[in-house]
Amino acid sequence: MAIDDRFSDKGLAGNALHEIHGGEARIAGAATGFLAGLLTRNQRRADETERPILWVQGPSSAHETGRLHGPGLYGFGADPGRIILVTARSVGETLWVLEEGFSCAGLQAVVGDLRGDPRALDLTATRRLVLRARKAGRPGFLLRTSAAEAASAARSRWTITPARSLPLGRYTTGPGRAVWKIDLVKNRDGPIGAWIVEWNHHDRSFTQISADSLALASQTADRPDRASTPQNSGGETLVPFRRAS
Amino acid sequence: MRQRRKTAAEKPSFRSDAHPEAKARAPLAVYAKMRNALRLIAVDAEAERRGLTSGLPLADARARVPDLDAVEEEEKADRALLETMADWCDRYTPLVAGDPPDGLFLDISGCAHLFGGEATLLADLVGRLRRQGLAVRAAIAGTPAAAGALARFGDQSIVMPGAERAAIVSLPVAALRVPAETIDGLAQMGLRRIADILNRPRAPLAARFGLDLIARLDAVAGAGSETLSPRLPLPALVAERRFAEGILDKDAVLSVIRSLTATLAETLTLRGEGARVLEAALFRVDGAVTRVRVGTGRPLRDPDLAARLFSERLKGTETEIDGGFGFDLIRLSVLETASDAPRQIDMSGNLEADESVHALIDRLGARVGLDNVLRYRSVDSHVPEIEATMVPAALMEEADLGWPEADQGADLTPLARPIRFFTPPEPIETLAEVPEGPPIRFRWRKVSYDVRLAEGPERIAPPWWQGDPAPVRDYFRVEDGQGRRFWLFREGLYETRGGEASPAGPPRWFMQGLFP
Repeated sequence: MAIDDRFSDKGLAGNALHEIHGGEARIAGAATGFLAGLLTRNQRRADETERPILWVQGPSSAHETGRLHGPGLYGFGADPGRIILVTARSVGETLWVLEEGFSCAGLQAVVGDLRGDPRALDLTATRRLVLRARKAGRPGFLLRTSAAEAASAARSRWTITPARSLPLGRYTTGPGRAVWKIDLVKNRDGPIGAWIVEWNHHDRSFTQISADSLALASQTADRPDRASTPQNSGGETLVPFRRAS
Repeated sequence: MRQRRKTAAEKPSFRSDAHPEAKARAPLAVYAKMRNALRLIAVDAEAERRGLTSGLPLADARARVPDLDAVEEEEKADRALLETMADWCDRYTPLVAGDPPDGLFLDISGCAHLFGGEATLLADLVGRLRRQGLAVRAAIAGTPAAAGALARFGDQSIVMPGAERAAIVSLPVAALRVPAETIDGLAQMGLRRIADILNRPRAPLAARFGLDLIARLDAVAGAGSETLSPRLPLPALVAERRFAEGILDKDAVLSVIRSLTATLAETLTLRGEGARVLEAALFRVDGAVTRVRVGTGRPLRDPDLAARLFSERLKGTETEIDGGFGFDLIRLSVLETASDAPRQIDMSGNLEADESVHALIDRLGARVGLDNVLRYRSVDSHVPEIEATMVPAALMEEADLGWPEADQGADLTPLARPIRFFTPPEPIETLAEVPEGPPIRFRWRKVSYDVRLAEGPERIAPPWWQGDPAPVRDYFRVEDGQGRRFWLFREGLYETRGGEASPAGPPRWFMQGLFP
């Protein structure tokens, strides 16, 4: 599958930090949905079903981008009962909660939901998180909204923007399933790329709609594997996690 | 319940020590507005020696003693001082009750021997308070009323049980603490001391002054029974440690808390219980008391864990705890317990992971507040705000959250609820709309959106059985030309059935959430 092939181990590193950028705060639903999809796919693995996810909302995140909504997650195919939502009062506190989360053996993943470009979230802070993630053998995610793409130690960086949805059965006048343009703008495990995918909340899987702007991405000369990428638009699963070692 | 002790009447004479401008002991008096005139309500020893008494008009007092330092009464400050003193008195007994405006009751039943007997306790208390610059009078007696009367008007410090009657006969009737009119009335009849009325026939007294006088008389004579209402909840278990010299170091404080928890853990283990709420009271040398509380989701007995929770709690407080000259008493109270039976060992090894998540929740709760560590609970309601309710993670077992095994229903249904939710909803401005339909264009946060797709309305009315209803809401799921998906609603109706305009004005639009 196209996206999975961008990773040398056919999936996201399970013991690393990944950054997901959602653009402006007022379109943060798309990035939130993409991350919820990733976590849900990971949850389907037998050994992860029971483990909760620690989701930390930084200061002003709930106010500016809205609070993570349980019934919405449920309809989306994610399990709200698995989520422990922490509201932190400062960025420093957010980072502390994330580090504490990595030190707990019983979690599936740790998510930091932060708005803007806080000074406390610098290269050193992300490095600390990367080290914690590696030691814990669990993935960590930074969900960033209204943030510039600054240097960070994250293993991959994605930019998610909403895209027009497709008609769904007899629902032709209203929005259909969630569709996003996902840009893999940084990838330490392989080449980058961009796709348009749809989230099927019934099957709980990603479906690739088109390899949008793939041609643009493959112009990079030092990515020889790019050309051989099959343009698969079937209902295969995308981006599962690599098993954490 | 045997002995009650009362420290009373910190008459503002203490201010001659505490007052910053008191040089060379100028006479000090406190005045307040009484019966339309400024009158003295308290005087210090020096002012008393120069002939001032409380009740004197301020102008007269100034004329008699030109160098009088007169201070206006500050009721709030007095109350705050009494509260602080009550906190401080917690070092003697957990049962301290206020006796406003100027007294405190301490129930020292069963506590006196810890301080070497009643006399030593009394001397210690009075001595320490005097060293803090307070003028204190105190007495110990079998009932609060008797102790109060003796402390305010008597000179005897300790009254043996049963001897109250003899001890109070010589006190003035004011010691009964009955209304001023009653005292005046008794004085007119020549009854000035308790002895004068104690053995009189009661019926005429009751007929003239009311039953309250008789009740007070019995209470002061040790015959009635009174109960104190403690200021603070009585803890289930308490352990404390005193220090000859104040300790300041935070690590030292934490290690004391750890060893106190170890002491309490023995009792808790015997009872098969664990602590749910722990409170550490830090008594500063100069009298200030700081209380730090931590709550846990799982009953707790482990000293290291307790010390860690307190450590997070101390880091989380915005103002660092001010140690001043150090703490000379640290007390750890268990305010709430829960049964903590040994659990069966789960062969799959999930127990350990489970435990670590519970410990994480407690740790996070201690630092950011238990109300900020939440979980989603499935709620059987269609009102969006109620659907969004969350519960503190520490109070909820995962199995009780009630999310059914995901069944996504028909394959071809769109998402009904947003993934991000605004509370409160944000007002938006519709630029074009059709009545009863979705907006065609709207403006939110200074950006305008053209609606490409819209589905709705989903009409959500508040429960009619909850009295006066909030306006009906019509929800729409919309998508703009760039694929941004929103959950909007219109509050209120366009017009009422009779064709008249809605009394609430035109409908208003709000942004409620963001779809993925």
